[in-house]
Amino acid sequence: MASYALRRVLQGALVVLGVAFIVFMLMHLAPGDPAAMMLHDGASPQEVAALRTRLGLDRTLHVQFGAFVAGAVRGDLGRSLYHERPAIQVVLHFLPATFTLAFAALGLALVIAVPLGILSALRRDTIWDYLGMGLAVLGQAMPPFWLGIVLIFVFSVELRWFPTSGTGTFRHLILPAVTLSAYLTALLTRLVRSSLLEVLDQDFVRTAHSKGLPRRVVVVKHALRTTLIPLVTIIGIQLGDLLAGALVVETVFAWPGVGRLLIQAIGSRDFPVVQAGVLVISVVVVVLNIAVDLLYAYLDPRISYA
Amino acid sequence: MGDRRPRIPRRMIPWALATVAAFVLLTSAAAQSIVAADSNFERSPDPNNTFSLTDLYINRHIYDPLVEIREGGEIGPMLANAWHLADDGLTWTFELRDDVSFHHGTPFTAADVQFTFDRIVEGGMAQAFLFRDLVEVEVVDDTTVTFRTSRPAGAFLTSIAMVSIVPADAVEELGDGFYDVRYGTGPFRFAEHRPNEDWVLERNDDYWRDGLPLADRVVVRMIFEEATAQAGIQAGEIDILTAVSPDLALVLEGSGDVDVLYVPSFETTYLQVKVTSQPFDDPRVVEALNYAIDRSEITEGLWLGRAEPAAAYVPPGMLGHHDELEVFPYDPERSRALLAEAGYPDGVTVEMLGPTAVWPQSQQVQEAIQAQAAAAGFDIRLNMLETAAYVQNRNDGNYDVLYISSIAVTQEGMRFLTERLLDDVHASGYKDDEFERLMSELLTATEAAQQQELFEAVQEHLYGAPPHVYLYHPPAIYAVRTDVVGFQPRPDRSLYLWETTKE
Repeated sequence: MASYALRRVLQGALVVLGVAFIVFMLMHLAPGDPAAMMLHDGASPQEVAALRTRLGLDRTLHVQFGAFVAGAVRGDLGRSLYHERPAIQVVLHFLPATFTLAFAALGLALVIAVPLGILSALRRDTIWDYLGMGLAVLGQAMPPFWLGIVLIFVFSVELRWFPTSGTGTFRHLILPAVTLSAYLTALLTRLVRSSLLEVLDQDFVRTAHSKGLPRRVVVVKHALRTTLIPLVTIIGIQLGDLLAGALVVETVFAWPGVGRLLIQAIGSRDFPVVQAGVLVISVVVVVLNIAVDLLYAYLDPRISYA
Repeated sequence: MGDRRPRIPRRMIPWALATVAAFVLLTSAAAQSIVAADSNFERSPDPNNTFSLTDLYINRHIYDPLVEIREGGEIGPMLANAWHLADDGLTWTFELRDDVSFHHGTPFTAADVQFTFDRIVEGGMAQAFLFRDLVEVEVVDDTTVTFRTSRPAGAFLTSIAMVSIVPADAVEELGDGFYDVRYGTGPFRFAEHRPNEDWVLERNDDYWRDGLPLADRVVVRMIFEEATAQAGIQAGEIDILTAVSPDLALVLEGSGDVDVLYVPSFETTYLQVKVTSQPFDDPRVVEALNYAIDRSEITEGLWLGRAEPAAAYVPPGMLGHHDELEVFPYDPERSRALLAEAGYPDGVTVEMLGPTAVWPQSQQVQEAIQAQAAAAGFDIRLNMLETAAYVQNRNDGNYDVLYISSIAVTQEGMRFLTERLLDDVHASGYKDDEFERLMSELLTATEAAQQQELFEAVQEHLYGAPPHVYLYHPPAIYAVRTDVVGFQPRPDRSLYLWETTKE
């Protein structure tokens, strides 16, 4: 188990290094000059060139990447071009808001999807099943930027139940979390339903039934537990998507998270912030994925990493 | 004896209570917040290291400049009571107020002025470009300071008006920590800036201008998504929106609680051509392009009639506007004839570089130009790019035609003409002796009447000629909730909120 964990951590480190390299290259090779973006529209070529030199952007690409890696190893990811602070500090400042949103969405998805999936499976081909699956299709079909705006106009402008955007209270969190969770909720509902249906046909479930166990015990204790493995797998994969989805949701709801920070940083070519932001997110995703893999062994005694 | 006390009739009691309650409510309602929204993020926490319009107007609430630009371009006193230019045309002397203190209690003196300008120039800050001609700032005594320039500078006072005066002691002692406190002398104290979220400013009770500010609190929120801003103002969470697009203006005009304000802006949208390569190396092709665009169709159709077709650079209301130059009519025949004369009887194919966003309606206007010019012999290929890519291609001169818009942040026209034509920062290749001669006269003229005359001469020289094709002056559009009082819309889309309050 320990050697498996160590191997995964090393692999993860390689992934993060790869991500850092790709992001660095993408930002530096894409058209757009940070110095020109920092200066006003009428800045002269000399002013732009002087700023490029000051920012170290006139050095060759491999020298810049070397400096970036050397700094990163010491925990220095450069200074933001706009925030007058180290880039890593800027990113960490925005991270909690994104986490709050992502975990609220994940929690919401689980609370809705698991009961709805069970209901659809147990009441297969009834109105409940059709209703559950209808909702699931809808949830997967609605793009979040559209859903977010619809929710704002219905629940904030018309009904005045929630604030239209921003942060501050628990009520600010509801609409963005619902928007971000829609897709995941739909996905998990369908997953719980189909894996439960599959399990319910298996021998051990029939055995449990014939032993005279109540249906509730059979479903919850025996059948549901085996559906947890695909559920955890999908959640592990979807966590990355959830953080990516936050990009859109944060923009629609003016939610000050890493997603919105990255959009702004990419638009203004704030290289250090983009690099630090993507690096931090990739570390988070890698760590969560390792955690999910380790969780398998706990959920299914047959799986062992020895 | 008790019987002689005046008795309040029982049925009057609820009324009396209601009156008291109303009084209490009204007096406590004096604690007022104005919430505005803008779509720009903070470019720098340093008031002197930014030239973004949003930063500049937010800083105007926290700090004061020496002088301010008033309506019609007139210069008015702020921290400086009076000023004069010596006969040599090079030395400006400012007399400063002696009754002003910074938010942390330190009195404002000439040393702060010197410190502020030295820091900008020596530190190579974003506002340094305004003071290329500045040689020295000298403290004469606590309330007198002199500025010496290397040549007469006509736009000197408007540049001075851009600069927030910072306290020397706090900036030196606190270093980066100054950005968390931001002490100025302005009508509001800096309370908080939550990056990408909002600025919160609290009333400065000791402000030196009596009776100001009116509101207790100003909040400026950053909302990138226009639909979200729309929801905010409709739900009453936001009082004032700036830089509203014509499409949103149309929607908001129909809602009862919001007024839409349109004011002429100091912005000019224009095309710039590459004069060093074919086909625009021939001035007749530039003239043809002037006839190939139906400006009023664009201002009526895409700007709801709120934009003003342009014949020259300086917009109406700004010093130097030339009101006798006529807007080019849409005349495809004339355009084709000019093209044929220039040796292109079958028309020309050119590439137009433009941004997808940046300015409202950019994309639609570029497409309209493409369609209109097609009938006039111009086959325009659109090269519409994301902002940073657009900026790079623009600065590198990768275009035949460049789509661009410029707002006069310093509220005068010399800067535009200097940067965009004299220094040719967007690489059109333009060079013209007569233009340079006129400009050298304009830049050193310090009398308004003389400046007006020279501005007109410069614009006549540029009329219908390379390298610019002027399109229109877009309006500044604001949305304001109906209970807001005292809000003045501005031609530069800024939000100045110290005289604003709510009913």
